[in-house]
Amino acid sequence: MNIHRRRGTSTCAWAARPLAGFLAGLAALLVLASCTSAPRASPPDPAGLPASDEVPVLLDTTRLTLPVDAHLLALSEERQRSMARRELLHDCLLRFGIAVVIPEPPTEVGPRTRNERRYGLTDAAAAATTGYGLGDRDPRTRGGGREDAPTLTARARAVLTGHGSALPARVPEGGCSGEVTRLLTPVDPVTRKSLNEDLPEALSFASFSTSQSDPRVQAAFGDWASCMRKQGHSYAAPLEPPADPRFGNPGGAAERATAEADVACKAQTNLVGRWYAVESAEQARLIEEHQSELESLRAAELEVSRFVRSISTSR
Amino acid sequence: MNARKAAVAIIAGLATATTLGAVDTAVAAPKDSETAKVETTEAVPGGKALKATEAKAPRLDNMAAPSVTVAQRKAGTGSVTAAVTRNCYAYSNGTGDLCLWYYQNYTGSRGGSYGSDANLSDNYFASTGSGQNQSMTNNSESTFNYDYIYTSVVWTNNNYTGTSGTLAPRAGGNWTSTYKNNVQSLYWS
Repeated sequence: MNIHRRRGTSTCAWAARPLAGFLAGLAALLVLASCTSAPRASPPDPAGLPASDEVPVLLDTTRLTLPVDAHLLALSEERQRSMARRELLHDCLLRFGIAVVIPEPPTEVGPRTRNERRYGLTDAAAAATTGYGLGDRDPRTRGGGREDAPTLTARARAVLTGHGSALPARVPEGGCSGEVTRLLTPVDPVTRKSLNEDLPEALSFASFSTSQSDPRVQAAFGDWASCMRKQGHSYAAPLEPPADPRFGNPGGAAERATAEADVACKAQTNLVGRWYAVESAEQARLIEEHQSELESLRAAELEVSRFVRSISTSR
Repeated sequence: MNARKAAVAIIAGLATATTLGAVDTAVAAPKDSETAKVETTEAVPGGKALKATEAKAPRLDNMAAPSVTVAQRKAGTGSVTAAVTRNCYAYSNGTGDLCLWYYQNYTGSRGGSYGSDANLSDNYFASTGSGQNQSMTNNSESTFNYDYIYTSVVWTNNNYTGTSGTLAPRAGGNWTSTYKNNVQSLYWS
């Protein structure tokens, strides 16, 4: 999803950009949102910094997408890949006469999207009830999954891993694990060589990091910190409170009060919109720099996604 | 160091477990010393550079998987969720820890995380080597997911805030430039 808006207009629309291929599942999540006030003009861009033409007014980032997100697997897609891996492992083990039930980890845990908490907490209701914790979505509160993984015999373990004295004949290189990893790795369609599937995440990390030292983001941090100080909370940057070691008892009164002030100050200073504008511009620059690699990867990821879908529909 | 929480013997048996080593290249120089770091080819700015990592993660002995009761899990006091100082382990049921090393290329002291954890600030590098007993948060230069089955989803800040990354089963590498020293919470998918 990108913001398409002319500078200086009072209208503000989110345009749902069709996300090709592997992000198709995310398309259903795209919603139209309206801005609450006229956009502000960006300050003159200091030399060397990418221009951020638009500064939207934003708070909730759950469905916010940045340019690199078009190349990243959503968390839901990552989950589908993980499920596919387990199904393929199950089938591979079965070829060797090993029938095991591999438990799925709990669903509906963790942030809903990669960006829900990218700029810290932005959910006022959650702040008031659980502070910085995830409440019902806290993975620690759920059982199941890997903690219930069944015991494996030495032979089963050898087939899974490709190591061990009980290794039967004709086990694929690296065991079933190696086989499945190869099946789910994006490869160049011509050379079949594996691609750098970490590139989108790497670019996302890079923009997240460099944007924090941008003077425009620093100014936003300063405004937010000033707002927080007025409410009795001393922090220099918005990612500090969720990591405050004083909050030893998760969701305690002090944590909730801080979280509520945090979200209110983000709204008051438009911290999210200002940060997002700078980071988006930086990501656009990075995408241009890595265009060719990203396009190759996207095509390869589409192939993997098609394969993953074929697994789930065949069951 | 004095304020550091005492090491906790997490699970009966683990405390005396021996992991296969030959990995901890103890480096005496401080972490910010250039000479202490092993440089790798970085194709991209930031992130984990799996394809650029030539070092292979060390093999670990298989251990019985840790267990935690539902009550412990909900209370956040179970052995795999409480603040711990522990080494990295691979378990006999095919699961394994997300292992973090103090230095690049799987060197220096390492520490493992088995359960989901919103706050790695109170976990400490455990094995002998540079960085031992230091907090794992904001302090790791390489990582490996020892699990054969489950993916680790990591976040750059506590309580699943910041930006995220995924570590597929049996994947790892050096955290490069911007993402280096920045794993602070994780869960399993």
